[in-house]
Amino acid sequence: MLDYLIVGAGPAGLSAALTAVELGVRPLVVDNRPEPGGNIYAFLGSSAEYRAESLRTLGTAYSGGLPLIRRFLDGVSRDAIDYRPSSKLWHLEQDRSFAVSGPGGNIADTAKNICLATGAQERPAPMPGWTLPGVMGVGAAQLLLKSGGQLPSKSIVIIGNGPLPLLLASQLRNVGSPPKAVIEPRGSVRYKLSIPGYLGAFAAPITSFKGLMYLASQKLSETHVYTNADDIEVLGTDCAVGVGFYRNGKRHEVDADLILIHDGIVPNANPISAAGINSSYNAAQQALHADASSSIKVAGDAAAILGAKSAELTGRIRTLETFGQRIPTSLSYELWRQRKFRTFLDEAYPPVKFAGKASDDTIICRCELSTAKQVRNTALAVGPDANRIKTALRCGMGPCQGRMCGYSIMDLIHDETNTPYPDITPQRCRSPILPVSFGDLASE
Amino acid sequence: MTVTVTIDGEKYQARESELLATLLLQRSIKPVRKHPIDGSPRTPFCMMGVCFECLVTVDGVTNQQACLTTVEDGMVVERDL
Repeated sequence: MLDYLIVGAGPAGLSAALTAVELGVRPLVVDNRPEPGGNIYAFLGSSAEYRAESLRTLGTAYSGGLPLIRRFLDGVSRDAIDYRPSSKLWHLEQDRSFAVSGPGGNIADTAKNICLATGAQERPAPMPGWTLPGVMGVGAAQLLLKSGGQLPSKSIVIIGNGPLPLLLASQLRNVGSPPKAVIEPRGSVRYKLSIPGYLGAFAAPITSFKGLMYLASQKLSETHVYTNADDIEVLGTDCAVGVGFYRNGKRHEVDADLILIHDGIVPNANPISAAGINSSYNAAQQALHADASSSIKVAGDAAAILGAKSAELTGRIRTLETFGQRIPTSLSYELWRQRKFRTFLDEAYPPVKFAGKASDDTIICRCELSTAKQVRNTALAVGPDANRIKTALRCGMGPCQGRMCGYSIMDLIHDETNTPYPDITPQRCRSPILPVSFGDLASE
Repeated sequence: MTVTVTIDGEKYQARESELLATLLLQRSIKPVRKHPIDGSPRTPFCMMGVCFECLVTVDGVTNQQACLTTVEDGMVVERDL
């Protein structure tokens, strides 16, 4: 039996692994990327080695992860950590049995302790034309830059709001190709905040100051910002050629061949759901949060979207808890400070939830091609249960296993049946969590 | 260090350790696949292993996620068109 399984090698997973090493435990770290870092520090090790210029472009929010990556890789080279890159956790049960397949061999075992540090993904932003070539997530564009690529176009439009689009807009200016336009959907920013929201903005002054700087620099650039946009659609038949939208009832069209869309980020729910961990709807983040009392621990953005610094803290805290250690007050205080700042971000940039506003023919499930109309009609027929809609329409049964439609379906159920979010049954994920070959199944 | 990758019979130079999805996007090799249901063109969308839009055949193994695959010298890639 394995002592400690850590799933994910982002800031939470790396910090959990290093904490385990301090406690004399040799963890198994499984990650689907070829190198450690998660999304925030993706390819940071190879960037530092081969692409020093990209560290300057992407800024300290990226390069700041280097010490963590280096300490982790040092642990791996000393054999204090069993690190499995390019590997998939495809099976996980409540009894903590699991299966992993990857180039380092297949593993089927049971772990005494498990930490899921599976991170976050972009909240799907379904709109007409969003499956066309030339449309990507804002986070996806950042990952392209981090992997050493350039964006494949100079004619870029960003649709969305919040810290990530603002950061990307500033990074694109750094590489000399600022976006032509930023289109802010109606309802994507709130200027009037509650008192805790305002106070939160000052809890982590350095981070919030950076946010204000991005806003200011955006105003100075040649980027056109369209606020309060409605009925946004990507134009094109075989590939994206532009964006159409309305402002105050007036139609606008902007030509572009790279459209980057964003509606905030949400925890990666699939392994959590597959492990039978209960999740409940968190009103502040408008997302599913895993039950913290579960015997399988969840750390980092997989538990709640709090950012990279918090992920490092919670990876450490969950590991200390797991092995019966005391949590130092300084860790708890720092986590509290980070949470405060997140209150500000959550309030200032609420998700638009594009699905609810989507026209009937908009594709909601990219794998099975279910449309908004089909999901709406089915929700009315079968009630507020995403699993019954899945059975009826297959949405959530494709290779992505509901990652790209789960939240959209909840939004459609909510709007169509007037069911409060906490009362909607979300899609349940089953094994295999990720697609595996028959060969891997047979070798288990 | 550069490596040579063959995509649908054509040879491409790539940086060692470059992501296959990055190479495909960078060289405007699109679409990367056609959707199995309606044949609609698709390209990498999420770059983080979530959406499965970048599935290609790598060295004879079907349905590999290009956004999680590092290029290797002599790699043979086929698009599902």
